[in-house]
Formats: sequence, C-alpha cells, structure tokens
Amino acid sequence: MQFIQTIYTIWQREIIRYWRDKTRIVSTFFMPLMFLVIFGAGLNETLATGNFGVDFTQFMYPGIIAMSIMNIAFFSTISTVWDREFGFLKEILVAPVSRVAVAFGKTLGATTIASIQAIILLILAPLIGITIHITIIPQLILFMLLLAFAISGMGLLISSLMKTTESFGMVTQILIFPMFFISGAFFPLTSVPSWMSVLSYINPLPTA
Amino acid sequence: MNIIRVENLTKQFNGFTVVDHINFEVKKGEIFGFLGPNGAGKSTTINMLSTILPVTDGEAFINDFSILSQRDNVRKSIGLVFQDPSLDDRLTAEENLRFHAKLYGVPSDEFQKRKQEVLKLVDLWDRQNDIVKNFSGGMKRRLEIARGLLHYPAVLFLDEPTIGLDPQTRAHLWDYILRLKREKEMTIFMTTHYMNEAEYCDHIAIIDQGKIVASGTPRELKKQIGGDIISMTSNRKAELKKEIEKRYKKDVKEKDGFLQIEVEDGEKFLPRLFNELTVEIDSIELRKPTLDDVFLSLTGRAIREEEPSDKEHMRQRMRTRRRN
Repeated sequence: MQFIQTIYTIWQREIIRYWRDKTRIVSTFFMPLMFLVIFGAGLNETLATGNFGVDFTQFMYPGIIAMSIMNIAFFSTISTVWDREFGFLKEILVAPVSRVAVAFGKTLGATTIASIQAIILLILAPLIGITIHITIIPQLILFMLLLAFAISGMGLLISSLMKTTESFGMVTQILIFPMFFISGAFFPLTSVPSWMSVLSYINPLPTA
Repeated sequence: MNIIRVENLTKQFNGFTVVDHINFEVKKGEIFGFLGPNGAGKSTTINMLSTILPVTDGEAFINDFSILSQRDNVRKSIGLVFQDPSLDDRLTAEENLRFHAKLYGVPSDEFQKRKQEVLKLVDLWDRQNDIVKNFSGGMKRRLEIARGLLHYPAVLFLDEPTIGLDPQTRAHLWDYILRLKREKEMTIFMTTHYMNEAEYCDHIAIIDQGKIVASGTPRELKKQIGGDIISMTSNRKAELKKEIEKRYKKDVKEKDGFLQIEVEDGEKFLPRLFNELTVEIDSIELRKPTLDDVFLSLTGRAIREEEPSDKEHMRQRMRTRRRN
C-alpha cells in the first residue's frame, strides 16, 4: 500500500510542477508544430515535382508526434537532476520508502506529461488536413504510451547518473538527434546502408 | 536508555579517513551539539546516522534500531534538516508538508492536525499556501524544521541549521529550537561551527579531523581550560612571548595576532603583569573562557580561523539568489 502511495505521491509532484510552469507547456507545443509547418510546407513544395504518392505532411505527422513524445519525456526526467542540484532528492532518499517506487513515480510522471501532449497533437491532426482512420487510434495511443514510458525510463536512467543539468542536456541531445534521424520519419529506412538499418533496429523510435 | 548510541563509527573515502572510530551517546530529550570546523566530519557523521551514506566500520543505534540492518525503522525515527536547502520551491509550503506526510505514511486526517501544529510552532501557519520560492532564507529553514517534525521523529537532526542566515534570523531560529525542546521534549542532534550557539546545547562533542577530541557539557568543557584568558599584543611580540614563558612558566598561544595565556585569577594577575614585565604591552584584554577557547586549547587553532569554504560561499549565494 505504501508502495502505491509513494508512486502516486512522486507522480503527483511531477504533474503539479509541470502545471505551474506555463512556459514549458506552451513551448513544448510550439516546437513540433513549428517543425511541421516549416518542414512540411517547405518540403512539400520542393518534392511536389517528384511523384511520391503521399502528402509529405501526412508522412511526417506520426514522426512529429513521436519526436515530441521523445523530447518531452526526456526533458521531463530532467527533474531528477534538478532535484539533485536543489537538494530535494535528499528529502526523497532519506524517506522510508522503496527506491523502486520512487523511480516508477518519476517515470510515470514523465510518461503522463509526454502522453497528454501527444494526444493533444493527435487531436489537432484533422485541423491541418491530416486524415487518420478512427480504427487505428486506440492502437496509436497504446504505442504513444509505450514510447513515452520507454523514453522516460531511459531519461531517468541518464538523469540519475548526471550531476548537472548541463551534462544532462548534452547527453540527451546526443541521443535524441540520431534516434530521430534514423527513425524513418525523415526518410524511409528501406534503402539505407546496412549499419544504419542495424542501428535503427535498436532504436525504439521506428517501431512507434 | 540512550536514544543515540554510536560505536566506533568510521568512514573512509578512497582510503582517506574522514570519520575515525568515534563514540558517543545522546540522552533522550537533550540538545546534543556536534562541533567542529568545516570538513571535520560533521556532515559525514549525520549522513551515516541517517543511512544515506554507507558505513566503513563500526555501528550506531538510533531509537534502538541499527543503522546497518534496520534502515527503514531508523529513517522513520529521524527528522532531518540538511545543511543545504531541500524543499521543492515550486510547491507551496502546504504541498511540501503533504508530500512528506505521504512518504512517511502519515494518514490524511492525522496530517491535517499535525500540519496546523508544526506550522504554528514555526509561525508559518498563515503562509501555508504560498509558493516556497518567495520565502526568505529563514522562513525556508523554519519550514524545513516543521517538515522534519511532521512524522513525529524520535530524534531531529539539524545540520548547520543557522548557516547562511543573518544574526537576527539566527537568534529567532534558536527560539524555535529551544521551544521544540521545551514543548515537545524532542531530542535534537545538531552540528554547528558557531561556538556561541553551542552554549545552548546540553551536551557537546567536539570533532576535529574525524576524531572526537572532547565531550561534556559546555560548563565542563570551559572548566577544562582552567581559568581566565588574557590576550595581549605588542610590537615586540616575540620578546614578550619569551619573557612570559620564562617568568610565569605559562603556555603562550597565538591567535589572530594576539598572545594568549590562561590564568587562575585574571583580576589579580593583571597588576602583576604590568609591574613585572620589561617588554612593553600595547593592549590587553581579560575575559572568561568561551567554547572558542576550548577549541583553541584542544587543537591549537581557532575554529573560525578557517575561511568559509567555496561550497559555503556558493551556498550563501544560492540562498540569496533563490530568495529573489
């Protein structure tokens, strides 16, 4: 019982902190939409001459969602590094609670934040002319949750090893960009060098 | 039964001994002061007692629970106020307390009652819904103390509770600490490197370079010095020192550019000094011993001679910055 309560308490704190930070909410929406507008519009024109058979925006949108999940999930786990720098981590570590529960709470907090934003992006999809079949939505959401959870877990692992926010930022950037580029969201992975396709198998992003 | 028992507690970092086989006991309901300069091993000892830091050797019991084998029970028995702030400053005071209560398994109806009790004790009751970020350094400290009390610990650990606070706030904080002892009969274990604050403690242990060099009540320790202290200065200091050593067979110590001797009866000794000395004295002072002097006589150097460490500077800056 205390185990569940610990998870819930840690989770709740993450959500409250997120909710109080309006800049964070606004900016996390802005970035994927900006990507979509700039890349989508720009590349759509450029590629209009070739015959792809699909609208580029349509092709990009799932990638955009996956990317924002990844960004937000990673970024949210930075709270652990903050907690360390600002001392709150000590308060958690001396409490008579299970460390596993603490880690779960943190991961679920980041997962929740990332998933909420992904779902909002999904709702926005029809507004910018993207067609999604109703039938695949539950599936999509399930994958979003899984991806958010996986990335949060990974983020937490990194953030628990990092001493400063600066180093955390560097490490996540180094991880995020390759993961994103070889995810198949920018270009299909059917005709890439073999080393890249091997890497893309390890990468959790293409699956999503 | 003593509430804290420490037996040969030792901590080494990379072969360097930070805490060296220390032994002490703390009685229930007293304020126990752990004194020493920066880097003497005070925080390391607290971290070991609160089970955050693994122990290299030795054993300790808090509330009869072993810090080695009964960690969760030890954790439930202690409240901690760290040297560095450990509040979540984006949350309100009330939320900080609520999360603490949940982590320590305090039931919600019980929490409402205790919240009122601890917040009123530290005079923060009417600020409970304010975001902690807007609190001053002293208010944050008080809130941390309130939080540390929320789960009714058997022992409250205060690690340098007054560091980085202005003298007025520091005095106020002491009012709260003494009120705690009076009203709750709380056992308080505190570290400090301000010797004047140690006068409030019932018992004191002085730690230097990882070893306990003295312990007892403040009165006992001051008695060890064996009398009054005369400190004087002269522009022929070396000669003066030599003459005093020769004439009175006294041990002369140097502190802050002053020569210091300990004498039985200062009032009677001064006139003798003036009559007999051939070397001129520029200024002279007679005073009763303080704990500073105890430390000086035990270790041969003053506790405050040491500059605040870089970390401490940073800490003070952080406090002021976060207050804005």
